[in-house]
Amino acid sequence: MLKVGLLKKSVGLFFLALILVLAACGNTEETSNAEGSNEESSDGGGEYPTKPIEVLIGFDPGGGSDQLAQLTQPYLKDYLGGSFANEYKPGASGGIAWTSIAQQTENDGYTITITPSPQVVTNYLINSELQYTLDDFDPIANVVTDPAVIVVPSDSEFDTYEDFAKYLEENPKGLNVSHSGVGGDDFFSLLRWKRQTDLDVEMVPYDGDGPSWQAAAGGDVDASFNNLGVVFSQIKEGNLKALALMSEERNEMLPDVPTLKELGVDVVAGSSRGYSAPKGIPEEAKQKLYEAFEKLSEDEEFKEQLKEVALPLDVKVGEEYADYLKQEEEVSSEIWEEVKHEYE
Amino acid sequence: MSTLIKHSVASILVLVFAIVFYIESLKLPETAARLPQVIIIVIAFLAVAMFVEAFIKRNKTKTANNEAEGEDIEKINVIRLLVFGAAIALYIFLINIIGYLIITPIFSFLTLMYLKATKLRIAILLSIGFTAFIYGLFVEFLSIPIPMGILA
Amino acid sequence: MNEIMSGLINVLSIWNLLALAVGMILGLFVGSMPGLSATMAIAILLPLTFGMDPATGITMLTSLYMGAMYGGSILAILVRTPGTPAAAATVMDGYKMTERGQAGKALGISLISSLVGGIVSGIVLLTVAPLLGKLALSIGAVELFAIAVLGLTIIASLAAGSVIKGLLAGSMGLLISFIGMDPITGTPRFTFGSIYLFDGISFVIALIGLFSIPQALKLVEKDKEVIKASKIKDKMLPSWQEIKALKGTLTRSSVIGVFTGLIPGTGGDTASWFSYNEAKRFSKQKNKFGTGHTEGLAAPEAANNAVVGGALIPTITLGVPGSSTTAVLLGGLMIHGIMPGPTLMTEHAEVTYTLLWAVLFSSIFLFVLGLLYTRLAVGVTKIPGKVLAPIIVLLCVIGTFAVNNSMVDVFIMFAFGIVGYFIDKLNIPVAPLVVGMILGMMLDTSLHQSLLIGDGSWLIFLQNPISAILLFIALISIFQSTPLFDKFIQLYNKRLRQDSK
Repeated sequence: MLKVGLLKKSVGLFFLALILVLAACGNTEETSNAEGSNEESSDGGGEYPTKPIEVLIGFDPGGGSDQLAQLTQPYLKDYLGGSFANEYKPGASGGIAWTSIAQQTENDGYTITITPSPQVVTNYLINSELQYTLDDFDPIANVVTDPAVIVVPSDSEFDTYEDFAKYLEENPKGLNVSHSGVGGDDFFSLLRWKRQTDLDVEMVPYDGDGPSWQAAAGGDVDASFNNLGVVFSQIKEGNLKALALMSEERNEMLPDVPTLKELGVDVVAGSSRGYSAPKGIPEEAKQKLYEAFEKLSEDEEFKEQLKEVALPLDVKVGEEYADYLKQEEEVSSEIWEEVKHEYE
Repeated sequence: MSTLIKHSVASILVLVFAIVFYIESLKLPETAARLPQVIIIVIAFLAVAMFVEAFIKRNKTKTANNEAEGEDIEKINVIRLLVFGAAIALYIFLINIIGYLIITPIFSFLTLMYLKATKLRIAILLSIGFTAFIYGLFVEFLSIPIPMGILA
Repeated sequence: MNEIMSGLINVLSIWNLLALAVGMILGLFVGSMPGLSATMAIAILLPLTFGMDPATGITMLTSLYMGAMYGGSILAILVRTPGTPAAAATVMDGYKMTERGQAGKALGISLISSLVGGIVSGIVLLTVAPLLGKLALSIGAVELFAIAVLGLTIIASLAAGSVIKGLLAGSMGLLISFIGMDPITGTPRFTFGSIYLFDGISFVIALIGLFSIPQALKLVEKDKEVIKASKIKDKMLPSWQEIKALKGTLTRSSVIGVFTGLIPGTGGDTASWFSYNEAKRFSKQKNKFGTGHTEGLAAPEAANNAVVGGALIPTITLGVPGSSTTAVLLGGLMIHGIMPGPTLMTEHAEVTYTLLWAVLFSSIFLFVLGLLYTRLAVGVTKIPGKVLAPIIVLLCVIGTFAVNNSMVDVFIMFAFGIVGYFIDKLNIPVAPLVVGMILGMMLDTSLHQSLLIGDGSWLIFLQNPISAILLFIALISIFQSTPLFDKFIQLYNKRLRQDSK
C-alpha cells in the first residue's frame, strides 16, 4: 500500500511539473498559432491554404535547408495567409525525405519540401538505390544561390587565381584541395573546374562545408572549394583568402575577388536552395505558391536579412526553376559518367 | 544452459556476422573496404578466442569445483521474459499500423496486468495517464511527430 | 573589459534570469528523456525565441544545453537508461550505486560534478577563449586520427573480466560504426541495399537499445526487485570531505571536457569516456571502478558539462561549431540576423558576452533547479520494477521514433536491445562496444584523409608533433594494460628497495 501511495505521488508530481512547463511556454505557441489563423480568415481571397503547410526537410535541424526554412517562412506565411509546420526527416543526404515525397505524400499542396541543388539530382545519379527522380517533383521556386568559391589559407603563397593555376600547370596534382564530400555541390564544382581547365589536384573529401574550409584554414590542405555564404566571415576576418568566385558576376560584398568567367574559365557553379512540391499539386495551390515567392523576391526586409547572412538572393519561379534543375541534372550526370569508374 | 554452450553459440553467431560483412565488403572500392576488412578478421579471430577461453575455463572449474556454476544463477522466469519480449515486438509492429494513441494504453495495461505489477485501477490510470502525458509532451508541446496510424 | 562588464549586467536582467530558469527546466527535462536531445529541443524552440531579444533567446538556449547535459544522467543513474549519449559513461558507476541503495548520493555527486564542470568551462570561456579558438583550427585530420587511436586504448581498460571479450565488443562497435555512406569514396557500406542505412546506425538509437531494453527485460525476469529502494533520508549532497577527495578527478575531467569540446567533431560522448579512462589511470583504487565508485561517476559528469563551454569556444571565436548542439545554436544566431563567424566577439560583443556569462550563471541555476528536479526524480527508485519496465519500453520506442522521425530506427533500437540483453548474459562488457561506435568513423575518415594529404605515407603521423605525442601516449596505455607492465613495476620497486638497502 505504501508503495502504491508513493507511486501515485510521484506520478502526480511528474504531471505537475509538466503542467508548469507547458504553462510557461505553451502560451507563446498558442498565441502565434492564433495569429496565423486570424490572418487566414481575414485574407478571404482564395481557398488555399486552409490548414498548415507541412515542409518536409531532409536534413538535420540547423543545416542549410533548415536555415532557408527559418529565414523564408516568416515572410511566406504572411504572403500566403497560412502557416507552416516543419518536419525533419534526415537521412541519405535528403534521399529519405525526397523518396517519401515521390512515393508517399499526397500531392494536395499541403506537403512541400526543400530542394537544394545540385544535391537533389546528384543524389540519385550516384546512388541507384534511391527511387526518385526530378520527374516526381513540381519545382516551385528557387530562393538563394550560394556561389562556389576557391579559398586558400591566409598564409598561402598564392595571392591570385593565376598563381594557383600556374603552379598546377607546372606541378600537376601538386596541391591538396578539400571539398565537402563525394557527390556534394563542391565535389561537382571541383570536377567542372577540372574539366574546363585540364588542371589536376588531389581531391580530399571532408564531411561538410565546415570541416572542408577548416582544413584549409588550419593548413591541412592547400585550398578548399567551398561556398561564399559559408566562408564569407572567415574571408573578411582574414582566416582565408578568396581566389575566385564561380558566379556570373562579381559579388558586391567582395568586389576585389574576380569570377572564373572573367579569368577565362567558363564555370558557374554553387549551391542553390528552393522549394518543390510533389508532382501534380492543384493548379490553385501552385499559383498561390508562385505568387508568394514572387512577392518574397521583392521584399526589402527579407533582402536585407539575406545580406546580413551573406546569402545571394536568386529567385527563380515555376518553369524557370524546373529548367534550371533539368540543366543541373544534365551537367552533373555528364560529369559523373566521366569520373564514375574512380568511385566504384 | 551451460556457459560453454552459451559461448559456443555466441562465437558461431559472431562468426556468421563476420562472414556476412566480409562478403558485403568485397563489393566495395578498395579504400572503403580496407579498414573494415582488417577489423572483420580481428573479430573472427576473437570469436574463436572467446570459445577457447570458455573451454579452458570449464575444464578448470570442473577440476576445482564441480557445482560452482549453479549457485550464482538465480532462477529466471523464462516464460515471463519471452511473453514480455514478444509484447514489445508486437507493440512496435502495431504502433505504425494502428497508431500510438490506441495501442499504447492497451500495451501498457496488458503488460502491467500480466506482470502483476499493480492493481487494476492503478494499471488503468497509469496506462491512460502515461499515454496522455507523452502525447501532450511530444505532439502538443514540442510538435514532434509520433506514429498516428489509422487516426492520421 | 567593458564588454565583459556590460555582458554581466545584461545577463542579470529580469528577463534573462527568467530565460535561464525556463531554459534550465526544459533542458533538465528533455535531457532526462531518452531520445530527446538538447540539439532537437533547441531546434524546436528556436522559433519561440524570434520574438525575444537575441541575447535573451540565446541565453535560454544555452541554459537548456547545460541542463540537458546533466539531465541525461538522471535516468542513467536511476534506471540505467541514459537520456543522452554523453551519459553512457555515467551508467558504469552511477547505476551500480543505485543498485546498492545510494541513488540519492549518486545524483548528488553527479550534480556537484556537473556544477564544477560547468563553472570551469564558463571561466575558461570568459578568460582565454580567443587564445584557444585558434587551437581548434590546428586540429586536422592527422591529429584526429591520433586522438581516435588514443581513444581506442580506452577499450582495453574497460574490458573488465575478459580482455578477449572486451576487444571483441570494441571491434564489433567499430564495424557497426562503418555502416553507412563512406565519406571518402561516397559509396554506401554494409547497407544491404537499404537507403535507411545510408546514414549509418544512429549512435543515440543504438545506445537506447543497448542500455534500456536489457534493463527493462532484467526488471521482469526475476521475482525479486533488482534495485534497493534508496532510503528517504539518503543524503543527496555529498559532504565537504567527499568533494575534497574528488578534487583531482573533477579538475582533470573538467579540463578534458573543455578540450574535447573544443575539437570540432567530438563532444560530450567522447569527453565522458576519455575522462572516465583518465580518472581510472590516475586513481589509487583502480579496481573499484565499475562497482559504484564515486570517482568513476564524478569524472564523466564533470567532463560532459565542461564540454558546453569548450564547444562554445570555436563557436564564438571562429563560427565553427564545436558540437552538433552548438551548430544549431549558430543557426539560431543567424535567424536573429547575427552572422556567426570571427566577428562575433567584436561586432556583436553584447550578445556574445551575455552568452558567455550565461554559461557561468546557468551552472548555478543547474545546481538549484537540478537539486529540486533530482529530489523529484529519486522517487523513480520507489516505483516497483515491474511497473517501471513497460514505462521504460514506451519511452524508448517513442523517443527513438522522435530522433529521425522513422519507424526503421525503432526496429534497429529493438534489435540492439535484444543483442544487448544477451551480451549482458554472456558477461561481454557493453562499454567497449559504445566506445568503438563513437570512434570508428573518426578513425577511418581521418586515416584516409591523412593518407591523401601525406601522399600515401604513414610517416605523416610521426612527423606531426601533436599526433606523435598522442600516439606515444596510446602506446604507453596499451603497455600499461598488459601484464608486462605490472611485472615491470614490481621489478622497478624491487630495484628501489635494493638500492635503499
